[in-house]
Amino acid sequence: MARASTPGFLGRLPAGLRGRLLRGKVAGQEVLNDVTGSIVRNGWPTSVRGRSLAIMNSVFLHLHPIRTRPDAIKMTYTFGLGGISFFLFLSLTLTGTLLMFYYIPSVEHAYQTIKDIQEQQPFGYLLRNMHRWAAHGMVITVFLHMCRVFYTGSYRAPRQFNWVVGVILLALTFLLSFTGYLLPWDQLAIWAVTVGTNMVGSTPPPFVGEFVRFLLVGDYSIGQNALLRFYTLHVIGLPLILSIFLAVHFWRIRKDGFSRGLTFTTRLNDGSPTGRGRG
Amino acid sequence: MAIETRPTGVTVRDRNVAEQKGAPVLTSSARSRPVTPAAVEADTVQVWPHLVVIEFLGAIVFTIMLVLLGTLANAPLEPLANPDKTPNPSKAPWYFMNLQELLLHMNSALAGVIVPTIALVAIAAIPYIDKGGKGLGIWFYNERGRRIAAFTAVYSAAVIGALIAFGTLPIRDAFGSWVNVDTAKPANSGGLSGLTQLFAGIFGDTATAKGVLIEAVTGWIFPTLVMILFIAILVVLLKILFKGLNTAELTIGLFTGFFATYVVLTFVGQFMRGHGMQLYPPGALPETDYGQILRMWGRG
Repeated sequence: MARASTPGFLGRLPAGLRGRLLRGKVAGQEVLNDVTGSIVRNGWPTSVRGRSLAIMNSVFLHLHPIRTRPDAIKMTYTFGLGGISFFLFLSLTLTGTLLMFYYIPSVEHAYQTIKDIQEQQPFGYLLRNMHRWAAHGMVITVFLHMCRVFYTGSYRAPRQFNWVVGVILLALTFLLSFTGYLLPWDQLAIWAVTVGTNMVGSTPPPFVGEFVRFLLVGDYSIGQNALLRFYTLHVIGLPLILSIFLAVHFWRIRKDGFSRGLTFTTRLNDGSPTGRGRG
Repeated sequence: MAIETRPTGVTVRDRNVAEQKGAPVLTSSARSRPVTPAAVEADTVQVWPHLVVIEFLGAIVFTIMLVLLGTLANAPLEPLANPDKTPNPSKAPWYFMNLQELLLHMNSALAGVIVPTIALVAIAAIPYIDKGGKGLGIWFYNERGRRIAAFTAVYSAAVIGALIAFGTLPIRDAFGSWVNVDTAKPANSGGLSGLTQLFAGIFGDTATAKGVLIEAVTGWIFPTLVMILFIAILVVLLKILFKGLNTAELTIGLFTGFFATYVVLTFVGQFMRGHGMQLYPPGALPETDYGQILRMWGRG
């Protein structure tokens, strides 16, 4: 009868071995449960409570509220522009880190390493392309995100400061893109950056402009110093500052509430929201 | 159950603070409905799965799109940098081409630093100027806001387009001839030569005075007046066309003006400026000058 209760391969084994194997299987499952349970403490959420815990107990998800209004997550409301910008920032960090493995920020080597990345490294062309297009994309999505927030009046109290943080993030995005522009060290790079830094250099009065330009370029023309400064700003300085402001930005969204976040009633007839968003 | 029915949001203290600041918190009709856990639940959905799924799918879709784009279109790489060989035209990255376009029409300090700084500070200051609580979370504030935005977009694009066309005229040369001083034949001097002679007393000679005058007038005074004038006309037009214009609606108009200006200047700078930063029809830029966009699609 024991054979019938455990069909298949195990059923055909001698009882002693079968018992040991079954105990081993149970023990293995226990270890697996211990490990996965220690990583994700609540298991796959199947209940209302479980879904709440899934958000609360995850470092990545806990910036979300547990509940939100359906209005707030309608695609035609936000178009996901802030989220897409953040996604592009993460993509840029990933592809940028990989590019750093090969790239050398020196006037002698920069251009050649870019060519090597494209022609010698596996998926190098793809890597550089993705980095370039994501960078352009991020400038566009951050700008459009600002427009979305403006046109939906989402800068209104109590979110004034987060709007200012957003403007700072826009400026940082411009600067990140601009510092990255020089790194390929091709004709496009140095002349675009020459034009850009000359604009900075026109800050009045002239000695201030000249000082700021010199600070940025480290020389009277775009050369090794400029390349190293732009590289350092591009790969560590600006991303660090941007990350800090990003953390504040996200934190404040959560604390100030979505502009169409958790309110307790439906809208009034005149279309104005009845409550302060709170997510 | 205790967790998901507990309102995560408005506490009594928050409400008082917000009400003092004039933000609408709960309107009378909202107040008439008691804030019960059941009301919260009826009004909302759980972020897991409703939002998390969107974010997850969004990340997948955009990863695929980015990989596809990276496969299909190559990042441009021009010949090795050569400090001795200036390309004509030299252009800034496209998102700064709006400033470079401005640079053609006014003093570089005004175009490259002062105007963008004022624009950024003004944008950052929006929530401290437009302080009303109405319109939160509503596209374009109301139906009128939509029309204000549409009107301003058309107005700004038309004005900027006209001003760029006006900029092709030899304004500097014309003004230069007005302030020209012809010592050999005083009759050939420009109509404003008296001004030059007046300034020559300060700057020593008439040539310097003439240069300073030309830059001051065509580089600073005239462009500043033009910018102020067309913004003022916009405000007056909005006030006439939309009776009882409030701060929120005016803000929509001004921001839309900025947005349209930014887009038009960027487009003209990037796609319509060729050799010597001369104006070309879109798509007619000589390949030898600036084929970056066209070359993007080819290898290498």
